[in-house]
Amino acid sequence: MIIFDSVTKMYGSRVYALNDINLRIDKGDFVFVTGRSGAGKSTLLKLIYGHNKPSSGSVSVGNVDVGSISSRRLAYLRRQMGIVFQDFKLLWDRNIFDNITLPLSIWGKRLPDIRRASERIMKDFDVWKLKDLMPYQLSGGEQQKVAICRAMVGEPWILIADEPTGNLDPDSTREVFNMFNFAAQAGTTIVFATHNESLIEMHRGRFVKLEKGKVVSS
Amino acid sequence: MIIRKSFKDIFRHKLSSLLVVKVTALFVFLSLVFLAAAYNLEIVRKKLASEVRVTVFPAEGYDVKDLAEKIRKLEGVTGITHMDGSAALDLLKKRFPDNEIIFTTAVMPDLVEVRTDIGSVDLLRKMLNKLEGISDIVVNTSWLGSAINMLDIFRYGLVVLIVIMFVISVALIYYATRLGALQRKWEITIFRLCGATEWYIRLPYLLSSVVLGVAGAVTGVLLYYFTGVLLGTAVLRFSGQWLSSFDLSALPVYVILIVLFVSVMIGMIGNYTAFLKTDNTE
Ligand SMILES: Nc1ncnc2c1ncn2[C@@H]1O[C@H](COP(=O)(O)OP(=O)(O)OP(=O)(O)O)[C@@H](O)[C@H]1O
Ligand SMILES: [Mg+2]
Repeated sequence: MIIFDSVTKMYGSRVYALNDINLRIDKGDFVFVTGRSGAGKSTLLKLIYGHNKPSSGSVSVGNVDVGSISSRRLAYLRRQMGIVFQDFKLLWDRNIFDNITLPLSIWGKRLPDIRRASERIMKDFDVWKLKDLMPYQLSGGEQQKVAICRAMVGEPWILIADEPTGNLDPDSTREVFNMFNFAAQAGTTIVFATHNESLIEMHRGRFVKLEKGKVVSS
Repeated sequence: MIIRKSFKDIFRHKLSSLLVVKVTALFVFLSLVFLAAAYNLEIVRKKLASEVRVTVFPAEGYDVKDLAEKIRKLEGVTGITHMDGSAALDLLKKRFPDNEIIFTTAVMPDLVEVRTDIGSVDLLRKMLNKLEGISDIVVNTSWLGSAINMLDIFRYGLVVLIVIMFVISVALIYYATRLGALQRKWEITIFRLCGATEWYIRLPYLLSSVVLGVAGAVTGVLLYYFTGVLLGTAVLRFSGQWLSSFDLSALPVYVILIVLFVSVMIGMIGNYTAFLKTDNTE
């Protein structure tokens, strides 16, 4: 469960990126966060994964107040999240297998466990054949699939995606969206920021619409 | 695991790693050379300062040997020789019998030559003035004074150079580590998003910076000894005797250790500050 309680986020002393947000996202929800450019979508997500702290109010994720925990506890909280970006955020000097297994090796998992978990997810999403390639050898769509595999490999209960299809063609966009639907069916909570019209049409779940830092419908 | 990652990290960031090693090596090498120069100049200075010669001529009717014994007991005297003029002439006559005619017309004075250091020379002169049976005292310190002054200026110049160099190398290492941090920022961001703890992120960088610092420092010290040996033999060949006390490799071990320590610290501090700059959470 993710709860925004009267959250305001300011950048500097004048820009209200978010203005008095109250929001509740239940476990298993698949939520689209929409709104024009500059509406505050990315800011909303950043507060969930603790990249930014709210200027006032509180954001809690699974009963943890994200804005006030230590960096160590934040690190452990992020192990329950998978985060996906428009620019993929892959490591360019590691192959696909190492990129996907990165979270597990950071968490100190044993190699056999890492192999088992990653093989399953890579085969589920048809990226197993790419495992020995480097990121620059992949198309944008494939790179984003790899990034999503990395986000899912640790079996997080929350997936956060900030315009994951922003750089993709319609086919890849649909494929990426399907991956999220797959995770949603498995019960993962998903917060998905986008302004992609075709996706908005396809989405069957909940919408949170932002306008100038305020929730206008949810 | 973390150690393996540190080494991987070094090779992954070859450019900045190499730069750090080179700068550290250069810093260590140049500081050691300058320190050694300063250190050796100090030795030369001490030697010069301790080799002031005072020539004392006994008055008519006084025995030069007795006078020498009296002077030997004075404070500040580090060495003494005396010459009996007629005895010296006899010796010369014997050694060069063919030229005896020259020595029969020649006169050699009796004299006592006193060695002292530059700090005690004034006091010594006062005491000698009080002593009986002396006709003349010759102290020639003017050239010595200016030589020592020049050495001092030179040494201060070296110290200033070391300070300038220190600043330059800190700047260079900071630049090098910033370069590395720029390469790493992407990686660190991703690590954080994947739930890496601060320690997990910091330790490899800290370890690798220590490894790089030590590698650079050791390279610098080796370079220093190598040139020290080469230069040492060259100096000996061209200058012969009097510079033989000038020994580039004579720097005390603790000074080398301090330089090593400082260089490793520079690397670590540079790396750490550059690392802190990658922290982009607000
Ligand atoms: N780091 C920052 N410093 C200052 N202002 C910022 C910063 N990040 C965002 N803003 C401002 O906050 C507001 C909301 O930004 P945000 O990135 O959340 O919008 P967004 O809805 O994600 O837009 P887009 O669809 O273009 O990604 C904008 O006015 C933006 O200029
Ligand atoms: Mg955005």
